[in-house]
Amino acid sequence: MTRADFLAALAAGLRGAPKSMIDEIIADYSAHFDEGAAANRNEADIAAALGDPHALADELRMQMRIQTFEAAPSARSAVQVIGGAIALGVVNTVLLCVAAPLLVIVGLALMLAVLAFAGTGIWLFAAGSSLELPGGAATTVLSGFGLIAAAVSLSAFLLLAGKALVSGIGRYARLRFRLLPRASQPGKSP
Amino acid sequence: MTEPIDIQLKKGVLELCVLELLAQEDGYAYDIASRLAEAIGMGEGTVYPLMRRLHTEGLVETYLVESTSGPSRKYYRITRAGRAELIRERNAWHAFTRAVNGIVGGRK
Repeated sequence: MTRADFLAALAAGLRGAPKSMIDEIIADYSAHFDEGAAANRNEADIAAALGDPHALADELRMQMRIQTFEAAPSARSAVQVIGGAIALGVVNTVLLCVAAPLLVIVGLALMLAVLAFAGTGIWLFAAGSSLELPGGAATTVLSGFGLIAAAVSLSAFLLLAGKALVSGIGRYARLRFRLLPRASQPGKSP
Repeated sequence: MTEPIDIQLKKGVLELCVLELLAQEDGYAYDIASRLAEAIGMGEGTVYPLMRRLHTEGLVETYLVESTSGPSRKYYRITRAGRAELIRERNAWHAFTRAVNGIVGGRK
């Protein structure tokens, strides 16, 4: 693989990342080729010793996604971290097929609970005084308030748990993919 | 996708090795990469994602040095936070190797 091939493959793998980041990375690896050339190594050897440019690009992009998520957690950045982890093969397939649907079901159930709490709470709170339920109007209104508070705290808990889960996946991905074998060593490719 | 044990071991100590090298003296990525590639046998390209991460975590900082021959070189310097992290990782490494050596025993 020549220098041009390596850099082109790296740039292709980084497509979609911010341009400033791509430029910086390409500059780093170009400098590496310059240094290697100055040390009388040939291009193919330098490229082989660097490792697989596609794998490097995957790792760099995953790193960027984790960084984006940690700086500004959002549903979109969370999906990107999880998607990246799946694409990298970090998340075990069996785990993915069993744990992910379970997590989604539990998450949806909790979200439904939040909606039910909030709905009932608002209804009791707003219309409580005219409902004539046992216990009197004050009790009904206060129960409504309690249900709203429960809905708020449950959704806060859901957000925190979701964020912790995605951060955890990100950290795990980082641990898994730090070392790439040299492309020139047979039998050591992942 | 199970990796050979040597790759898993190297992964764990790569960050420690880079911080240790930088604690001795400032360095540029090519030099760090070739020294580590020789010492522990890893893809040189692996150093760059690691340097980026150490940089975003504030463990290292960079500065450019003009070169008389060719373009300027990007040097990495370990920060105060980096030294603190190095001490943590070094202690963990020593405690771990002591414990493992106690079980594995010496080479006969």
